Amino acid sequence: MSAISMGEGIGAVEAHPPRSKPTDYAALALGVVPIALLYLCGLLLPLPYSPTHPDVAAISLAPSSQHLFGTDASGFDVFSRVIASARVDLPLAVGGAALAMLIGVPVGLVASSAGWGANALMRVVDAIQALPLLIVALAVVALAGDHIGDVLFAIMLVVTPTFIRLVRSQALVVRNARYVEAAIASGCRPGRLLRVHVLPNVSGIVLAQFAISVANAILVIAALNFLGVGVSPPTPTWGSMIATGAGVIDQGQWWVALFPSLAILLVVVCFNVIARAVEDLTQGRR
Amino acid sequence: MSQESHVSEIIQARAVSKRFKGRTGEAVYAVNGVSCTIKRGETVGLIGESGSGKSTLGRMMLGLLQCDEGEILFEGTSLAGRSREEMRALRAQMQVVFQEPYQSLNPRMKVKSIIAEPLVAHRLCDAPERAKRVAEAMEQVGLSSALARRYPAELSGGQQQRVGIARAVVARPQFVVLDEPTASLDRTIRRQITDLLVRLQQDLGLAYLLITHDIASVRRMADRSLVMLRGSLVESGPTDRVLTRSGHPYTKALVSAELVPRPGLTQERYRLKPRPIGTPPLTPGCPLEPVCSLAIAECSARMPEMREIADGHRAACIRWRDLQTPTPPDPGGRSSSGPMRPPLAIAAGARLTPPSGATR
Amino acid sequence: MLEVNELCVTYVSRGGTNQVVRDLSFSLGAGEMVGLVGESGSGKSAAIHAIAALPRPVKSVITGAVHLNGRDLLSLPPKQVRQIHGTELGFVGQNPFGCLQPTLALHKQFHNILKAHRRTSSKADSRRQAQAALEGVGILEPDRVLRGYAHHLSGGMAQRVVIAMATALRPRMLIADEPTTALDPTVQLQILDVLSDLRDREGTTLLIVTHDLGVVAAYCSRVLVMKSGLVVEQGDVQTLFETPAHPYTRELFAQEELSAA
Repeated sequence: MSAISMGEGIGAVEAHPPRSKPTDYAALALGVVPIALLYLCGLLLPLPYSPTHPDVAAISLAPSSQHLFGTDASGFDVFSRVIASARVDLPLAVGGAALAMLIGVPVGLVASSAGWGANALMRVVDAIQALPLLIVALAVVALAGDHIGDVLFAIMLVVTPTFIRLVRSQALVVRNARYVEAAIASGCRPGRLLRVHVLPNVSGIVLAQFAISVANAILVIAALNFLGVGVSPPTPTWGSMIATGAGVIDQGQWWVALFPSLAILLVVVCFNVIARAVEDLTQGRR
Repeated sequence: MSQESHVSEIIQARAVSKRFKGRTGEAVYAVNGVSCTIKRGETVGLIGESGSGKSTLGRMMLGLLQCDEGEILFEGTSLAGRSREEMRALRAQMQVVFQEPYQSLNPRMKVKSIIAEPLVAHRLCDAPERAKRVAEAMEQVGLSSALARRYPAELSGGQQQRVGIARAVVARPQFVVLDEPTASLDRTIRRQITDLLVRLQQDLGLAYLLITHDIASVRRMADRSLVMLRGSLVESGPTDRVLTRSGHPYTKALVSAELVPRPGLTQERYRLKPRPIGTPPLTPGCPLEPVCSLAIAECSARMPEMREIADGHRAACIRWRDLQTPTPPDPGGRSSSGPMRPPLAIAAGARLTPPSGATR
Repeated sequence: MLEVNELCVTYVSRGGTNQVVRDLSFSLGAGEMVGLVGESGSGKSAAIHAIAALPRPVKSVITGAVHLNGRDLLSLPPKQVRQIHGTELGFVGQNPFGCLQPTLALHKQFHNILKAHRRTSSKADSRRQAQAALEGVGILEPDRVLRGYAHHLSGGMAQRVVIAMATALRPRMLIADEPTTALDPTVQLQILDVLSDLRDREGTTLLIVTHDLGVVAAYCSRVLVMKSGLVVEQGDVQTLFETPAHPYTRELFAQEELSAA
């Protein structure tokens, strides 16, 4: 009682945490809003033209007031298809990254414990990462079929090892922290230790990595679709649209490939911005 | 007699050692054959500089590190044979307060959860009772209840350390290891924390192992003291004797290296010789030999044994008798032997002459 | 020797501005050993770095004047400031290993310093000067030390080497920012002896920043007490310890009395 009223010593400064500045939340919004808009528009708003039924009369038209992004060789309106693709690609990417996280985090936590089991596990991860994962994913999807589950598996294959490594290294840092030693000295059980002490201090990095993984997943999906794998026409996907557009660029039809590329660019950049904002926000708590 | 010792002795270390693999593969002893006893309710100071092994010994006593040789006994029973579950349950009885308060608190947990940790871990009581005991602990250490919902980063250093102390005592342990509890705190707060620890000890009947290199806090808090050098115990006994009638040159050097904030007080400095470069390998002899001004040939041949030099006072130096001229009286004036030298006259702008009587 | 006039240091950051040093004024005479004490957050480190014209990681705005031997350090162009560092003003920090380059042999580091100030004619000459400097700080085997690297040294030895480097060019003033805080007590004593020896032998003026009043009491003749960026009291050590005027000084020094008791 008297200790507090006397103040914590003269001149001792009460430590103020670097609070989450409004700018950090603004940065987060900057990343989230465009993506949300893109997805929700695709979901809710009626599109000017059908993304799956072409208008044979309007073939290869340059961008105009009627066709904002122009049309392609089959008569599809590029704008409608770009927006519609978001409906397909975004959930797939987020789903794939989420699955990778669900698997990668527990594995990473387990791999952070001492002992030969953890080491063996990391060697398995090393082996997986030694493969050219995109190629493997391509092979898997091509062989197994264009089922959505296979695409998800492909994404996971590429993205999970990074999660495992990241979580493991951060968990190692945390495990050596003094407060973990204090928890052990307090008699904390291993399960609770991981749950209450290690995991919350790892989660900030995990969330940031999740955002990055979604960005990677978008690229994986686009790459697969570009190669014609994992997509069944006439379903619009950015990757396949770029493939179509690449074929007609030399005929001067730049719009078919450009706009889906810009969409991918926008989404990837936004997720990177989100990742950075999440990192800043969670760093503030530490 | 054995019944009495079971009741009064909380922790006993019997010739414990801890080995690590050195850089070139040979065994490096962080702790080398140390034996000591801590009784119920007493404070034992463990003094030493960096590399002395004092923190390692503290961890071994808590069972956080395994002993490679020897054993630790808690209330008469060895820690070695216990299962992991038993060991964990035992932790409720022995707690620790760490040096850097901020690092020992989970930055993502609220203060009240941090303090409740031992209660939760050992399932000692249900939630309402927990809240009550946490509030009680906070009051005991002088933390306002408004801080319960805060995070460690929002607290000052002194407050953080109080949280650490509250956590250590909430489960009513019998024994607390204090690992340099005030080293990283400002001077004005140190006194408050030290007072708090003394008060808690009286209220709760705690036994303390105070690990530190700060002579002043040992003098203030410890009934008995141990001095460690490079893993070995070189002196033990009642604090007063150990500090003023040291039986080992290293103790004397440590004590006289204490810079007392009293200008004009000429202290007799017992100095060690400058250390040779690099960490010299552990010879079979006394670790102090390379820098000791009393060293003779025998000192490098064999590690001197701890010998009884007075009642309850032991030291591991062959030439302890040559040290037995008492060091200058306690600057706080606790002992009554001899007056302090009158302060040198200081005129404005004049310089203080360097301490005289230095043995180089 | 050194005169500081109304020195103000303001840290500018994303969160706003923070005036860490306010109107700091004091002077040091030649050959004095003066202590600057304060707790964490008092601004003493910021003040010292501003006086020594050293850069800080935080963007700062510095006003006022720092006259060293008549010249205002704060108004000099960087080239001249660099020239003064080492020849007229030396600086020793808290962490010796932070001041020593880990991948260069120590004799090379000495050579670089001497060469930068054009005080050496050859590597052999640098070697000789370095050896003399190391002997001056009490190192018994200077040659062995020079051949080695920073990680071969213990904390105390490293700090001696840093002091040797800082004084290799015989500056008349040395500023030490908590030079012994990171060291063990017995080593602390040795380093302080080295510093006071420098003062005795060479007449170097010493400004020691510390939070340890024992250091001040045992080695300094005058002391400045800082709190929240201001010097609340200054004077000779004896007076301040016996009859502190300012309430903060009283509180600070009173705690010392009690903890020694």
